[in-house]
Amino acid sequence: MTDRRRNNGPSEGTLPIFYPDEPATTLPAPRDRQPDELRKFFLKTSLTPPASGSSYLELPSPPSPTQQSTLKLAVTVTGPRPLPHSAPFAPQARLTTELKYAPFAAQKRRGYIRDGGERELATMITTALVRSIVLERYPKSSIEIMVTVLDCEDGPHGDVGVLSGAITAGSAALADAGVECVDLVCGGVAGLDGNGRVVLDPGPGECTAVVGVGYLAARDEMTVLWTRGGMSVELEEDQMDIGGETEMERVIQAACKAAREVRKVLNEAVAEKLVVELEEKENAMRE
Amino acid sequence: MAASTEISQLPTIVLPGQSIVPTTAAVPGPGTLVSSVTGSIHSTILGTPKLTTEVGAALPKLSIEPPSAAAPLKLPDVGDNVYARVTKISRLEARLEVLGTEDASGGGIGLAGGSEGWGGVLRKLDLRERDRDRAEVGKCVRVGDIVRAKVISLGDQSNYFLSTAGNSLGVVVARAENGELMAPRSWKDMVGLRSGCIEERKVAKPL
Repeated sequence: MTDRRRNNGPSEGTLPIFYPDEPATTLPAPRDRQPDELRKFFLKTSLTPPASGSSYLELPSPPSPTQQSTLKLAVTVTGPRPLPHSAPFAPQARLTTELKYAPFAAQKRRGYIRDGGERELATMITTALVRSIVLERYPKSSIEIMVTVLDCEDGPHGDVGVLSGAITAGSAALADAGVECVDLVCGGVAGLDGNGRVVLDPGPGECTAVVGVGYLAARDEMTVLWTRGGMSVELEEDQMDIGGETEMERVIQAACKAAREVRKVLNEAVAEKLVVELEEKENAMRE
Repeated sequence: MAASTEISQLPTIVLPGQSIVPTTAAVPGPGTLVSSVTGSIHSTILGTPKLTTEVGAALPKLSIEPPSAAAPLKLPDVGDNVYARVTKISRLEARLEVLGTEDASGGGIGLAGGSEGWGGVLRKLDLRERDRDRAEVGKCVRVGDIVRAKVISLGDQSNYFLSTAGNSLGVVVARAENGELMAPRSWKDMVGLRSGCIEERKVAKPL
């Protein structure tokens, strides 16, 4: 008989993680990539069996875990399922998103109750993904997306990276669930570094200003735009006559370019399930 | 001829948002959408595209077959036939639990969300086609029966409105009061397979 009244720890025990007293955010790692080079990332679907669809996204771990952090996201999609009895009739599906940081996601521990920042991120993920779903095909049903942030980048603009990753992984999970979508949504991030240079997919603490977008690559549409930090929205004198772009427009264009790069990985990750199935079928035919 | 040339051009795997063929070459079927941006037929799900030519149709129909591991996400629409289990009966209506929609070939397919309670209501006046005001709910369906019914309306927030008026609609699987399976005897009663007892039901014409 197990003790069900107390929350006993695991029998084998675990080692707590100790961070140095000085937080690492004061020392951003120098960029070792080209300005238009993205970090490689891992994306896989169907890893949470009970959910209708799911995906897992991970950025490569840095060499030292105490120096800076990485990004790990697990997304599950439930539904379409009936609305609760209290809800009124709706001719379209209703999309709800929840986002929760795991208590151990960042160096500063998070509470178990969702805070304002998590709710704000969830609203933006909903806005980014709801435009891609063909809602009319699912009358009076609800689709729920749950994003769990297992590890995230510290630093002032870490949550823009979380938004971008959650949009990409959320779209992969929706496609995995078989929810009808007009297009896959990709998240892209670009920023301005200290020298005013536009860089794609900035690491933690690398940029003074960043832009995150949700982007439908096949339709060339933006579904969500989030800017952090100061960017000029006025044309410089010498650009006035030749129809040049403002600093902000350049960063937004760069974020869309990053999203188009992400789309290549997203396409392969979504198709992987079917590619494996077709290969197995072919092998079975041969035998 | 036109259809066969298109088939050789179809990709093996399509992703949501992928443009497949122009609207001049096919008509959109399940899993596709006509894009407002490019005007061609796009896929909305991951799957393999398939063209089927129906007799008398000018253009073949393009549909997307989802991966076999994925549960098909087809919600009942008005006019679809569904299979449903009776959960509760009253004097005026029977309450049902929709189990799955029937596809064009007559086979039942799973419903989105599994058994998470898409409800259905079968009202007394929709039980049968003729003499409908004299129909009694308890003499047409019983709790536990599986019926084939037509969706006549999306209904209210949680229930589809169903109808069993029609020869091919009605009880498909039923158990007698003593628990034994029953077989159809006529359109209005069924006979127990072992004891031969007879119970009243609105029976669907066997396929």
